[in-house]
Amino acid sequence: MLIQTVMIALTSKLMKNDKELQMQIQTNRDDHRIAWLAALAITIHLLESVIPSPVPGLKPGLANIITIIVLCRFGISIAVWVNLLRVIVGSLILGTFLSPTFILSLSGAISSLLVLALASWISKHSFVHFSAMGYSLLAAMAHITGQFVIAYLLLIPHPAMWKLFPVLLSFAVLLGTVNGIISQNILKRIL
Amino acid sequence: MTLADRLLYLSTLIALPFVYLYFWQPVQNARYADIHVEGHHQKRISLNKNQVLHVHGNQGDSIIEINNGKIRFKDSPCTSKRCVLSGWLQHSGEFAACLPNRISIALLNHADTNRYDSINF
Amino acid sequence: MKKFFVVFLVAILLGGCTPKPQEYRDTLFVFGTVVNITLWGVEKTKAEQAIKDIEKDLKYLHVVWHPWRFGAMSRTNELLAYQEWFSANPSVLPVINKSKKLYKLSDGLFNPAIGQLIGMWSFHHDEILDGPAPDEKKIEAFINDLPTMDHVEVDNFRIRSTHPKVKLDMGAIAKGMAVERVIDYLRQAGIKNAIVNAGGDLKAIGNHGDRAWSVGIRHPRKDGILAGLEVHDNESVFTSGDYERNFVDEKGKIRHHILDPRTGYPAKGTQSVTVIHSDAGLADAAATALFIAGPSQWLKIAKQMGIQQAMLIDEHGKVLMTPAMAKRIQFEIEPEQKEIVALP
Repeated sequence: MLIQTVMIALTSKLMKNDKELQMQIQTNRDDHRIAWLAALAITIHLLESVIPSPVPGLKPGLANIITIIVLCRFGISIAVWVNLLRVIVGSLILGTFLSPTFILSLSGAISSLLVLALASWISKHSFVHFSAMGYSLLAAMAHITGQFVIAYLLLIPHPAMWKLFPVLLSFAVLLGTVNGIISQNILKRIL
Repeated sequence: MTLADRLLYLSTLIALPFVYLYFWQPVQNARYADIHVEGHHQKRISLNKNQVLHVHGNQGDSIIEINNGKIRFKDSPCTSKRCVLSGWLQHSGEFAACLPNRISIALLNHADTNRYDSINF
Repeated sequence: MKKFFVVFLVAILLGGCTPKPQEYRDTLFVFGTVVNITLWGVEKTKAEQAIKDIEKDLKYLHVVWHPWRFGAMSRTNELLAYQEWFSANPSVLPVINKSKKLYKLSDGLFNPAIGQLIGMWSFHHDEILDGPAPDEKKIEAFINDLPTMDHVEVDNFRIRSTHPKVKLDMGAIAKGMAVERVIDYLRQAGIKNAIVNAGGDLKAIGNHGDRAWSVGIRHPRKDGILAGLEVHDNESVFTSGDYERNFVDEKGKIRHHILDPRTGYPAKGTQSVTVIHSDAGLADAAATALFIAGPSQWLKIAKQMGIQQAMLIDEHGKVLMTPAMAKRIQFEIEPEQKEIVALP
């Protein structure tokens, strides 16, 4: 219940339905888009956090579907906004803001966004064109790699941790593929 | 799927086994163990010397035994005894912890002298 | 929307920027050796200032205590040769008084009055060159009429020698007393955690944050570390080894710098001696004395000098340890032979 209330309050703020806010800040079409999509991504993020995971650190990353769709539909800059808002607001709601969990999910988000930015730039400026499938795979692998590097540097500076890396990377490939297929299908329906 | 996607998938699937090979290289016997209590480095001990250590943790003393280059939790005040069940450790990179008592053991194999603050000769 | 986001970014950046107390290391080339100073939890500007002051003081001490370069100690040696009373320079008097005491406690094995013998062996050079060993007869003559610290008489601030061959060489204690002085200075400067290592001999105060200082003892024969040791507040670790200052004589024999005042030749039977004691000056002199005493007598001398923790490696590589030393030492290269021997 509490979460729902916070969610409604937050999304309404983000959507600038609040009259007071609307008077102060001019919003444009992109802002509204970001708010809507971020709210959706946050909801998925929250739902996902309740699903128990067999291996610590292993999550389906369904919220990444939103990132991929946003990237394909509206471009990298909106994807960056949506993804970072998801991580930050999601952690505020879950009460993990600035905690290790937050640092890990932020570092995963940042590294996948960096890779996506590079990939979309390549798609735009060369004959190599990635689709949702490729983006999703790249994002998933970058996500887990970024998390591992940061976890090793900041949280568990122990070499034994890297033994897990190939396993989690394999899962990332698998989940990246699944998410890619889902994104592709959703994109087909929207278009 | 575009051509780029296909090529990406192909190279990923080819590279994946090598990732396993790289990160799962055969391990060497460790020479030292780092003992951490409450996340703080407590001491670094050589696995050369057979001894039994009593390390004071959150819930009491964990008993750590070193024998012929191997180390283990012999006993711990926790209820699960998961640390004791991890058994003997001897390869560098191995790790065991008694989470309730906040004590962990990590094995390593440094031959360098950097881990000392100062060298006497 | 953008303002909202900037606030978050600032919060994250600030969260990640809390300064942590850190280790500060510096190396000084002073006192005829390399001095490493490691400080923990000291502000950088404060640490830099302290190390500047230490460098100045060690440069001064090097001149003052130097056995043959122009300075207070070499002037004292000149005046001692007259065998008349004179007012001692205040900077050398504490070293002489301490040496007299330690000379007695070590049964004369720590004997800084044999500067002439050290000169004969040509250890009086910063760079030690290979060459012939000194003439046997000269050494024999010197030993038969050996100058000792008992021949140096001190009466308050006056001092005289009663032996014509007295020449003070504080090489076996100067380093220890200098380290002690640096530690005193650090304490006065409000620095609580430090290791001062002068050419391999060291003293520690405080600790390294949440753990004790850790020190590796180098192997006397192999590359690498023989054993590790946690060093606690106010402890010094001093080692005398035959591998430190040595030269090869005309017969290809290695001659090291630790001369046995009983024979006039480099002490035999020992590879190295390591001593732990709170007083760095005493630890320095004791490491030398126990080295000369050798495996048969080192425990007796250790007991007399108040040393509880000591380790001796004999000429065959066998490690002998007092029980208090054995309790805390962690071998990295397990010695083939070792034995724990109780003090008498």
